[in-house]
Amino acid sequence: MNEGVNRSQKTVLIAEDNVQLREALAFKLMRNGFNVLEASDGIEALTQIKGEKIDLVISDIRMPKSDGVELITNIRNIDARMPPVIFLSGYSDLSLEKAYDLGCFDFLSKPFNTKELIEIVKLATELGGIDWINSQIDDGSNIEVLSLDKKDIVIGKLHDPEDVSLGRGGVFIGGSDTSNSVCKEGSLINFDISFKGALLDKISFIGEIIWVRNSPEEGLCPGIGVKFRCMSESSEKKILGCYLEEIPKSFIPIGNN
Amino acid sequence: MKRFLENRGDARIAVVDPIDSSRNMILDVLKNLGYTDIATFVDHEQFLPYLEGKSCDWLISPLLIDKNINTLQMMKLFTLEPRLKNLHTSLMLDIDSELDYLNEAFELGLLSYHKKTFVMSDYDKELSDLVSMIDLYDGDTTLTSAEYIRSFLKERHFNRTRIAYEQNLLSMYPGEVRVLFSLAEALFLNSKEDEAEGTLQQIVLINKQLESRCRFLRKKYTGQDDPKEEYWGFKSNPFGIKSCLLIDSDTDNIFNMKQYLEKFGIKNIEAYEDGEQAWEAICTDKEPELILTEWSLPKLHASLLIQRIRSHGFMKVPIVVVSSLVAKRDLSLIEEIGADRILKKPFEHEEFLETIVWTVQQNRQPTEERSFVLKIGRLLTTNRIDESKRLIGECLRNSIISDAKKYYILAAYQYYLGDYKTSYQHAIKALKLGTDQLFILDLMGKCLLQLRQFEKAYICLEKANAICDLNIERLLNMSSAKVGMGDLTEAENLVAKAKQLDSENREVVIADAAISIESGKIDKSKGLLSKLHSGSKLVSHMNNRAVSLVKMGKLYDGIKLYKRTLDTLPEKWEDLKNAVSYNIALAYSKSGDLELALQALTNIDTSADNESELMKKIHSLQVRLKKAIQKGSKLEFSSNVDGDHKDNSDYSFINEDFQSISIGRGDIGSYRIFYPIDDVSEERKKSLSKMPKFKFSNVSNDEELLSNKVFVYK
Repeated sequence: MNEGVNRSQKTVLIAEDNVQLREALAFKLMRNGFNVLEASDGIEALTQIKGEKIDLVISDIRMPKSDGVELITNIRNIDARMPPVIFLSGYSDLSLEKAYDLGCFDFLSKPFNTKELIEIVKLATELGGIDWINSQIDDGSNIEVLSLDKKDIVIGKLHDPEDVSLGRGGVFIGGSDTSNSVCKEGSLINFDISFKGALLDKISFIGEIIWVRNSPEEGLCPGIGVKFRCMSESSEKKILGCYLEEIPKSFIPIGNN
Repeated sequence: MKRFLENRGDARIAVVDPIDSSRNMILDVLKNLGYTDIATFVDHEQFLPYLEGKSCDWLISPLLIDKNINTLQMMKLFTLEPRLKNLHTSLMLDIDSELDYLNEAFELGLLSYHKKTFVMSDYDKELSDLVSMIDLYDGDTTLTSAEYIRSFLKERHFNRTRIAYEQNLLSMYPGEVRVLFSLAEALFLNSKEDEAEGTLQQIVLINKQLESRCRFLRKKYTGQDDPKEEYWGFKSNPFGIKSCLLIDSDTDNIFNMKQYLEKFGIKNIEAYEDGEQAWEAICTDKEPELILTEWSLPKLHASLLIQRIRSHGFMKVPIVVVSSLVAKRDLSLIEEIGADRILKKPFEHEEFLETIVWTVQQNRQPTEERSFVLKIGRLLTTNRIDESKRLIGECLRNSIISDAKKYYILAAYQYYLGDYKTSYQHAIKALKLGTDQLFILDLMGKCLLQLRQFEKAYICLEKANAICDLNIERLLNMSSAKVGMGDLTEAENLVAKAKQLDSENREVVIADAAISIESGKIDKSKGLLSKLHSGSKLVSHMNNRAVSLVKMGKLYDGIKLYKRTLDTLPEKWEDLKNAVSYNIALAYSKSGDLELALQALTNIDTSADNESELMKKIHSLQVRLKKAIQKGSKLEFSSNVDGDHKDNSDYSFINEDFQSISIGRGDIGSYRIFYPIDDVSEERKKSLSKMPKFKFSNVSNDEELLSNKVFVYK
């Protein structure tokens, strides 16, 4: 363990083979109060994760020796939740669906916006692997959610949807009518999902649509990937209850065939 | 501050590459990154005509060393052609054979280099990483290029060069931890462990967050977790400050500040406990490089001390007001009298050092609006006109600076040039756009004063004074306005107000003496003059006033004023007395009273010292007067003889081209910061020997300026 680090200071590991970018990012994060470790590939990164307490990993996807996909798979095999991983990706390195299914916390494409990245890093290190806040939600009416920017929140009710799979930080909702105008990336929706006779009888949460699959692709059915952003305590309890046996590695499941 | 590629939609990119496949690959990558305005060329000969008609932000190209025009020549051109100073270059290199050219390329301002590849995703990563880095460095291309320079120097094991480079960079970014850290590493690599250790400890003092990073570096090079002891044996000076002045009656605070500053290698630190003591020391020494002062100083309040320092001609030194006792109403005064920053007491050492770093950095390379205004003002008042023009150009192009401030800066510039009408017009525009009224009203008042619009000048100055009434210079200007209006009583009252604030301020003494001369109180003005080391400022003040009277047709009032000035000046200032006599003679000559003119010069012995300019002039005037009297003719004058150097009646709009100022250190990448120690080979010298011909087509260029949202005169 590093003695120079005070207890409240969070440690971020940057896995990036481009040394110029890695250094520039490291100093930016240090200036923002983080302790920073660096690795130039996935193998180096994994060694450090095994040896140090790390609060967050920021990883490039394409790296020599062991890439970001391999790294996150290895990390999630050790611990399903911690440390959270933020991917920095070039164009078409990896799809959003795949990245979240592998268990990443967030995904920024390069060139990234520094302010946005810092915000996400702060959030990820504060929330420790989840990306939602607790708030009382009653059927989508009269909710005040301060942290969700000023985006319009659409209310959506789903009764016994055909296909829902629960991830660590969101859900896949399949078979829904994705041509609906609210079904677009970035929309915030107050979901109210009731299930017939299932363990989760009813959950309410505000979620952000991260990706939309309009038609079957590579054998996967259409649907949307939704990230939890805000959730009532009772819904949180129900969802965490589902995790009791095993915490899913996937942050937002990619869906079923 | 140059903010490169700030807006992806606006950026204009050129890709020059003779190989179709790689050119198209880069084009596709750039499109994927969100750039829309991309032009491609097979060689620089094709690119040049395009560049003559259009501006461009970013050139991506291989070296093309065997071509008719190579990329290094193009880069050289960008440094010579001021309109191309925002054009940055990224090189696609054959890493095995072309790395040697990087020395020249970096010195010419190269932004980045990348390995030539035939895989699109490699270019995608390289370029998207570069754009991310530029964003991480807030659009600063010098700091961005520095990362590439470090990689290059590491690769080549040019460790000595690296120390020199980081030190050069540090002089532009004093106290910047990224640079300091890299310097420490370079020192370790050169086995200068003590210096490296000293630098590491400075970094931790500036920013505690970097402690574990420093530990890591130390361990890597020395194998040890901790330094042997708190090691300050070697103190490098990352702020580049040699002398510093501390003024505070709280000796504990002095002790603390001194201790920190000493840890940063500042050797010459003087400390004083009150304003009077400090002032005495300042008067007898050269300009310090940093002043830290408590606001409410005993004996002489800092507000007055700072005004004295500035009117003493010490314009460059940054001043930090360190105090818990700064009232809100003092803030505009602190800004007006030219203090750089306020640091609230009590402070943590990190806050203290952060303030020093910020102040020194902004003083060298402003990035913030207020720092720009301060620095430009300082450059103008110290006659560094080229530097100030360069900075004004930078300022006009800077999107973080409001249009109102831009007009204010232009107004200040024209005021300095003596074009008071243009200055006034710019100030009016600034006022309409609504920036700080105080500064603009003050400047407008000063312009009107010069234009002899005394009533209007007084109104502006009085309004400014209502906002902030402790500015001595303004009170004296108000007094001058009243003198111009013929209201000597009110003028005296205003000087009295200034005296109440600080009767020892040199400007106050001069103004007091001037108004005494004006109202015929010769004894009083004699007494006041004995306080001054030199009377030249008073004489030039009286000269301006007399010239102004003559211009208003009050010739004899002007001459009366000259004569009283002459009576006031003590015998020891013979040169000044002669100058005044000469002016009296000129005034008489112009009015045709040649006998009286000659008489004014009778007591001057021109035979003793014929070497001085003034004596030559006097002698020549005497000769001409005698001849004219003999012939009974008039004297002819060329327009500028009487020292009235600027004729304001002939108003012409000076359309100063701030874009065409030569480019400076660090304007493009690490231009002129990177000095490779290694000799440049003949072959490489050849690569730069001939220059491409280049000419801007003017018409489209104006359109360019407009379309690029560059600030233009309206």
